[in-house]
Amino acid sequence: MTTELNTKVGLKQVEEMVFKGDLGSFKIDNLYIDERNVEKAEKNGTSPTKLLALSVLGCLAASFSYCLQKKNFTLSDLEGKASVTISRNEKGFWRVKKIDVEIIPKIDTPEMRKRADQCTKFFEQYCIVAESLRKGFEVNVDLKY
Amino acid sequence: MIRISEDVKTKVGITLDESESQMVFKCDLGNMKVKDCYIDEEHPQEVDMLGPNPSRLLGLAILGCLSASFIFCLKKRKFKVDDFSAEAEVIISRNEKGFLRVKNIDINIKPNITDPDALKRAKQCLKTAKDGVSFFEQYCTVTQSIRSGIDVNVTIDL
Repeated sequence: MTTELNTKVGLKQVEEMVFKGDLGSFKIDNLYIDERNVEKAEKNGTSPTKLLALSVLGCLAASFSYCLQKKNFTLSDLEGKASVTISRNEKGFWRVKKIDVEIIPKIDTPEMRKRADQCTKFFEQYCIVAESLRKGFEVNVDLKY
Repeated sequence: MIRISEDVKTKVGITLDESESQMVFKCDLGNMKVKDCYIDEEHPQEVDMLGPNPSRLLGLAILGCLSASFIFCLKKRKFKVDDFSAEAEVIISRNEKGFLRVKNIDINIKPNITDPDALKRAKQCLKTAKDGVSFFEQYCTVTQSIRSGIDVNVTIDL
C-alpha cells in the first residue's frame, strides 16, 4: 500500500517554442508541443493546456471503463470531450479556472445501465490525475448515457 | 486579440479505440500537422502502449509549459538557447484511503547557453518573484494552476 510509482517523460527543443515530447517507446511516438504557431493548421503539435485537458479526460474515461469492466461489462462505444477555461488572476497571469468534462458511453443493456448508475457514484475516485488537480481548480464531470 | 477580462476556452476530445481493449482512446486535439494521438491505460509495458497514459500526459503538460515559459523569458530580450532538453518525473503514491494520487512532479530543465548576455538574462529569469517561484514560472499557466494539489519542483542546469 505504500508503494510509489515513478513515471518519466522528456522533451527536446525543435525550434524556439516547438518541442518534441519523449513519452517513452510507444508504437506511435511522435508528439509535439507547439507554443509558437498560432494558426491551428500550422501547428506541429498540441499545447500544454490541451495536454492537461486530455490527461484529465483520458483518466476519467478510463476510470469509468474500468469500473464497468470490474463487473465484466464491455463498452461498445465511448466519446469524451473536455473544455478548459483559463482566465487571468489578480496579477494578470493566465491560470486554469476549470475543466469541464463530458463523457458519453454507449450503454447497451439494462444490467449495464444498473452498473453504470453504481459507477457514477465512485468511478472518479479511481482517477489518479483528476483528484490531484481538484485542489487547484474545478473539474466538472458530466456523464451522459 | 484577447481582452484582459475575457476567459479563454480550449477544447479536446476522445473516442474509444476500435481495438478490443476498453482502456485505449484516440485523441482529438484539433487540426494539427501531427494527428495521431492515443491514450493507453491498458498495457503496462511501454513497448505495447499505443500512446501515453494520463500521468505521462500530465508530466508532459507541465514540462512543456515550463520549457516554453523559460524560452519565452529569454525571447522577451531577444535571446535564444543553443540547445535545450528537459525531463519530468511524476511520482504517484497512495492516499490515506488507498487510492493512487499524483504526489509530486520533479522537473529538470537543461538549456545550453554559451552567449554571456543570454546567460545573464537566463539568471534573471530564474530569480525568485514575490510569490516564491521563479520569475519565468509565473508565465506557466498549467504549472501554477496545479500547485495547490501537486508539488512541482523545478531545477535548471545552467
